[in-house]
Amino acid sequence: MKYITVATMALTLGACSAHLPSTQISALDEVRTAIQQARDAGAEQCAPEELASAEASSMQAAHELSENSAYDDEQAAMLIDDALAASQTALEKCNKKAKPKPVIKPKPVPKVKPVVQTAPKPEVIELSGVFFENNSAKLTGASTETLNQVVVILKKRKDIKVEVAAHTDSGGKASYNAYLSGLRAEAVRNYLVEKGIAANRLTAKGYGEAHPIADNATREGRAKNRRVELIVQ
Amino acid sequence: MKKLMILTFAITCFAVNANAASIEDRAATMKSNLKGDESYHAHMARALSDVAEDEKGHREVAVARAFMDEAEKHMQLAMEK
Repeated sequence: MKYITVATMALTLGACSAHLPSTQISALDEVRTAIQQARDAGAEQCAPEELASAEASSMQAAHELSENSAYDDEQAAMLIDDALAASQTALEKCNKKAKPKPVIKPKPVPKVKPVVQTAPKPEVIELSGVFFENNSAKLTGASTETLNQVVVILKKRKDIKVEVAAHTDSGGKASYNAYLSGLRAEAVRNYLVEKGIAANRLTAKGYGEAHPIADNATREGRAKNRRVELIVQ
Repeated sequence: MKKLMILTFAITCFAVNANAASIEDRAATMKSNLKGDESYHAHMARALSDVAEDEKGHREVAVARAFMDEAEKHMQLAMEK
């Protein structure tokens, strides 16, 4: 009988030592901090799936901890690990995706000549980071980030109207390039309208290969020529 | 007395099944509504409905319902956008 009592006590103590709610509660705080960091890095936009997974796991972990049993604490520990991993992935994804903001070229100061007056060049907002799928007007997922920054700019500068100008390199037929660039300009315009920019502030035009800014003979040059710009009207 | 016990047992079984089906149905409807939506709220809704189904699997129907309610709130937010 004595042996049984000792064995029972040992088992009970063993179970209690495995059951460490305070440690797990602090782990839960750690998860919440990690989630907040991912959120601050913009994870709702750049890693929504990972952020959601982290939040759902942390909520379930909190529930399991409230259940007050060794099995539930084990479950909670696993969920906490999942949540930490997911929020870490979200943070990394957002840091990788962080790209320089679209470059806004300053308005050139019009040069005043004594006899011939030249019109000032229009302000051009270069959309570096807007890409399409090959031979298509479908925007890649990464492009939406750049375009979302453009939406912010256009919402701040409510007084401007812009032309979405799409350009291609010289590969392929000129007529096809003109057609494709038109579709791409329209796709960008549609995205901006969808995000709340008034349609009457935006026009779209495809210039095809007509206005290269670099040498089409080199790969780098062709990459520079395939571009989308916003021309302030 | 025996008949009463059988009746009580049958009603309990029916109630448990009805709750389980309800969580599954709500999850299925939600996933169908959010098909193709990759927004944060859509992902939240899907993740929470997975948790709800998981909890239902552990026979925690009240908890499953609470998670599903939360999932549906996110679904509304996703669909409003």
